[in-house]
Amino acid sequence: MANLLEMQAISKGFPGVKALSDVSISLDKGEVLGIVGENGAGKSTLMKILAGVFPPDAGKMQLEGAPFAPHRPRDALDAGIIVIHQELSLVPDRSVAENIFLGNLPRGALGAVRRAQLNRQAKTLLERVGLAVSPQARVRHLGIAQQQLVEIARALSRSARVIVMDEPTATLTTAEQRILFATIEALRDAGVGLVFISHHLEEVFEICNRVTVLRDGMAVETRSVGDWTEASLIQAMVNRPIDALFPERHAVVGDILLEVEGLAAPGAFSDVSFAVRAGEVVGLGGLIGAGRTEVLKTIYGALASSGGRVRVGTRDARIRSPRDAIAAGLAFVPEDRKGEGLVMPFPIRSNLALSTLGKLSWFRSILAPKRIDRLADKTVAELRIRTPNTRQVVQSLSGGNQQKVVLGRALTTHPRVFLLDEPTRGIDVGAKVEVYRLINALAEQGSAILVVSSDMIELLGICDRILVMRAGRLAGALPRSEFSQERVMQLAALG
Amino acid sequence: MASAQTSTPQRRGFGLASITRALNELTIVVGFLAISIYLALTTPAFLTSANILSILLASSLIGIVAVGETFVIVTGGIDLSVGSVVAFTGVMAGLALNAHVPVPMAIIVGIGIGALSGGFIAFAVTFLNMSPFIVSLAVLAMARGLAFIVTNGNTLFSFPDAFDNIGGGNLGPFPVAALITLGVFLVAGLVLARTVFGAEVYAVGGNREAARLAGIPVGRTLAIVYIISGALAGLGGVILAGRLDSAQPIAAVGLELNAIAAVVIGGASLFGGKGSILGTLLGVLIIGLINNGLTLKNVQPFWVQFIQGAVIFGAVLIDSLNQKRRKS
Repeated sequence: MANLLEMQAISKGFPGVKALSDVSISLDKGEVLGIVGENGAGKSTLMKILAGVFPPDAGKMQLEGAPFAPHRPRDALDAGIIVIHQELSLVPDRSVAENIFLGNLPRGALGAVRRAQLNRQAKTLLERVGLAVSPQARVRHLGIAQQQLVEIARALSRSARVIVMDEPTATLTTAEQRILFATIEALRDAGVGLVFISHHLEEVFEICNRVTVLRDGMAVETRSVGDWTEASLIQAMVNRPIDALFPERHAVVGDILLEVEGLAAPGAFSDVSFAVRAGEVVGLGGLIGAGRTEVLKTIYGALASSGGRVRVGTRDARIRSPRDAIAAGLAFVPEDRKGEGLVMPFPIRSNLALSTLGKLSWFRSILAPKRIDRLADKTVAELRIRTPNTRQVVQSLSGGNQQKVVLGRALTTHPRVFLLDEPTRGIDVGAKVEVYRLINALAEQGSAILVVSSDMIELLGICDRILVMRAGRLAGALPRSEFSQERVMQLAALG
Repeated sequence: MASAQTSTPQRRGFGLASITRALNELTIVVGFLAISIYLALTTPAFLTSANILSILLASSLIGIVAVGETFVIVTGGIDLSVGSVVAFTGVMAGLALNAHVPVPMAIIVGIGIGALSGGFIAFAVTFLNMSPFIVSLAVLAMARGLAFIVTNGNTLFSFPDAFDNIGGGNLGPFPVAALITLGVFLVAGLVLARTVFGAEVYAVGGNREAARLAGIPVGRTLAIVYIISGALAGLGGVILAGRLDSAQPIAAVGLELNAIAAVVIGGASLFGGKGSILGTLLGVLIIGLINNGLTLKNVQPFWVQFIQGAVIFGAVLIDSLNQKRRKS
C-alpha cells in the first residue's frame, strides 16, 4: 500500500551548516506522526521543505504515490499540504469566515464576494472542527486555541491531505489543548495525515501513533508510540558523543556577585531567583521560548521587570536601562549578533568603542581617535580577531570574528558580571573553543558568568551549575555532580 | 603561504571600500561641476557676481535647514516640519519686533520657538513612540496653521535695520547670511564627525537596538537631533525674514523637500547611519544650482516643481538601490 506522504533521503545544507542529511519519514492516511528533537535538530527545516519554502539539496517526496516537488508554498497548498506555524497567520480584524477563505474567497460576477455563500461554507467547516463561534465574529475576539481551530478550518477548506502542526500547544491552556486534541482525533479518523511537532513529550505520547526522533539533522529512529518510553525518547534525542571541546578551568569560587530574587517580567517569566558567585559559570538551560533570553534582558534593563530585585555585589542595583546595567558592572552579549549586537555597516573600531565613548574622548565630549585606535588594536590582539585592520566593517567578518567583536566590546566596560546569550551560536568549532577559553579566563579573573545556550553539550561542558527553565519558571538546578543530558532534558520538557 | 592568504583579502577589502566611498563623493563633485560648466556655457547671466550671490543667499536658507535635517536623517528619522517652522518662527520674530522687542531678543524668540517645536516632535517620537514621519507631518500642518493664526494671514514688515542685516546685509564683501551658514556648517560638521554625540547619532541610526544594548542613551540622542533641527529652522526663519524685511505665513512652502533632497543627494541614507555635513553642503549647492538654472533658463514654474520632485525621487532611488546591495 502506498503511503500518503513519503519524504525520502532528504538532505539540505545552508552556508556553513548541514541542516538535514539523508532524512526519510513516511506518513499514512489517518495517522498522527510525532516529530521530536532538540532545538536545531532540523524539524523546522524538514517541514519548510515539505511546505515548499525551499527545495531539498537531495532526496525526493511522493504524495499518494505521485512525485511531489513543490517550487513555492503555493504548490504545496494546492497539493493539500497545510503547515500551521507557531505564529498564527490570521488577519485579526477580519471575520472568521473571511480568514478561513483568505486568498480563496468565493466570488460572484464583478468580483464581489458572495457573503451568504461564504458564511454558509464557513459554518460547515467550523462544525467539522468543533468550533462554536459565528462565522461573522472578528478573529481578534477569539482565544488562541479558537484561532488555531480557525487555521485548521482554513486547512480543511483547501481539502487538506496533510496537516503539519508546529508546536501547536505552546501557548494553550489545558482546556484549550483538549479541544485541539479532540479536533486532531476527528481529522485523523476522517483520513487526514497529521504531523505533530512538540517539545512536550507527554502530549506526544497522548496524541501520536508513531514518533520519529531527529538529532543533528538526521532521523535517528522511528517507532510506534507504544515502543517508546519517555526515557528512551530523551536518550534518542540527546545522545551524542561529547567532543573534547571544553578546556579545563581552574577558577576559585568566591563571593556572590549577582543575586536575583523573585524576578518577573509580564508574559515571559515569573518568580525567578538564583545567585552567581565570582569565578562561577552558571548555565541557563531550557527550550526555546522558556524565558531564558528574557531573564537575561530583564536583569540587564533591556526589558521592563514587573517585580523582584537584582543585586550586584553587595548592593541593590536599580537597573532601568542597559546604561544603568553597564554602570552597575554588568555586560550583556545578545543572541542576535546582527540585529542587537553590532552595527553591521560600521567599522570594527566604531563597534568596539560604542560602550565607552565617554572615556575615549576629551571632556567626555570630543572624540579622541588615538584612544579609540589603541582600544581597538588592543581588543583585536587580545581576542585574536582576524582582520587586516580595525577599519574593516564588521559585515565583512566571519561569524566567529563578529562574535569576538561583541565580546570584545563587552570587556571594554570592565564588568564583573557577564550575561551571555547563545555566545557560540552560528560560529565554527575553532571560534567556539576560543569563546570557551575566554569564558574560562574571565571566570579565573573573578567574574561571574551566566550563560544561556540551546546546545546542551556546551552547557554541560562549560558550566559549574545549570539552572533549567520551563515555561517561564525555574524548573530546577543541577550541580556538576548531577550533570547529564537526560536530567536537563527531563527538567526542560517535563518540569 | 599564511601571509599571502591574509594579505589578499586585505587589499581587496580595503581597496573596494575606499573606491566606492570615493566614488560617492566624487560623483557629487562631478555632478556639481558638470551643472556649473553647462550653465556657464549656455547662460551668460550665470557667471555674474549678482547671480552667484543670489545662489548663495538662496542656498543659505536651504543649507541651514538641511544641516538640522542631516542630523535627523542620520538617526534614521525625518523632519517634514522645517518649511512650516521657518514660516512660523519668522512671523513670531516679526511680531516680537513689531512689539518693539529688542533685536537680539527677537532672534532668540525665533530660534527658541523652533527649538520648542523640535522638542514637541522629540517628545512624541521618544516618549510616545510615534513615527517621526507622521509627527513631523502633523507639525508641518500645525506650524503653518499657527503662522496664519498669529498674523491673521497678513504679512508683517518694516523691521529694524539691525534685524534685516542678518538676512540681507554684508560684512565686508560677504553676505552675513552666507557667513552664518558657513559657521553653522563648520560647527555641525565638527559635532557630527568629531564628538561623542555625533558618534551616538550614527550608532542610533546604524542599529538602534544594538546602540541601546551598548549603553547609548538612544532617547536623549533622538530628542537632541529633533531639537537641533527645529532650532536651525528657527534660525532659517529669522534669516529669511531679515532678507525680505518681511515675514509671511506662506513663506518657505516646500522647503523641507529641498532640504531633504540636499541631504540625500549628499550621500545620506534615509535608512539611517550614513551621511555627512560635507555631503550635505555639496547637496545644497547642487540643489541651489538646479533651482538657479531653471530660473535662468526661464523654465515654467510648474515644471520647476516637477523637476525638483524628480530629483528627490532619483536620489532616494539610488539610496534604496544601495541599501538593497548592502543587504544582499
